[in-house]
Amino acid sequence: MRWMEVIKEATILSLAAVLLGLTVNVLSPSGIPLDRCYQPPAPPSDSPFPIMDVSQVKDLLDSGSGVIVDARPAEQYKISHIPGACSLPVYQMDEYLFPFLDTVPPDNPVVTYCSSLTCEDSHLLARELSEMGYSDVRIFAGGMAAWREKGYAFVAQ
Amino acid sequence: MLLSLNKSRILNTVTLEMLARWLLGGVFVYSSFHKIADPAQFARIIYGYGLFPLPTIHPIAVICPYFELLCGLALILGVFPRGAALLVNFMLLLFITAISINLIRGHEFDCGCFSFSHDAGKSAVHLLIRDVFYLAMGLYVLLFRLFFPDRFVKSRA
Repeated sequence: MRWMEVIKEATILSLAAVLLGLTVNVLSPSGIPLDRCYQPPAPPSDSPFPIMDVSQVKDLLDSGSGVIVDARPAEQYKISHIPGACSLPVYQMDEYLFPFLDTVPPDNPVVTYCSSLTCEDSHLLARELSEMGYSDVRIFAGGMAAWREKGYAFVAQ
Repeated sequence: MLLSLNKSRILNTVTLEMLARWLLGGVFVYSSFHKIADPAQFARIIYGYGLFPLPTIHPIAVICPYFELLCGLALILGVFPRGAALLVNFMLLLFITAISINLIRGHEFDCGCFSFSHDAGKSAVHLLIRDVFYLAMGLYVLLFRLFFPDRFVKSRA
């Protein structure tokens, strides 16, 4: 009997949440269309930086002709990262920037990456590096998810 | 004297239940704000989990934050606390399942739990431990309300 009351309370709260969510979504300028399917993010076609796919990044790594830079938070880098990648978390630049500037000259090709197509850290870091004078900045938009899905080796904690 | 008074109050289960409700409610209300403000970005985070069919992503992004908000408020205010605790526990079980699946299959994802950027540094294991802790609190509230309603009423009176 008590459980019936609990389920009744939960049903009222659920209906209120659904109604409120739908109403606010219709009225809000930031609402999203419910009659259309979610469109998976694609590498931005208007990016000012060249977008690399996973095999291009692998070739670059194998040839040693560029530096791979992990834009994710340092904790995520410690857990797993692409072999040879250095860490430059875009939200912890103050802490990591100077060691990076000391080791990577501005004329070196630099490829930034983050978790996956859904994250923006690699794009933000590419912009920062470009403004600092790095002349050849590229983005590996698929990021760590694409690298692991391809089955390439990665460094794990 | 003061110490023993405080001790008796702290050990009072009604006080503990209220603290658990407030803490859990506060966490859920706080975690809903950024999702309500930017449902499109939250949809990207849901997609990043790699678990949900595309047609379900927009509805989840629109409705889920309001479940968090209303359940959180209900827990804080003590309105329909058992129903709110049931829904919160159900949501936490879903979060724990989603994180566990991605942890097991090595899928990179951003949590998006409390923000779309700064929270990303948390490891999946950290998220899992945190959610299990919240689930323990939610179960305590639910079971306390279900099995000791008389004690609660007496103490309140």
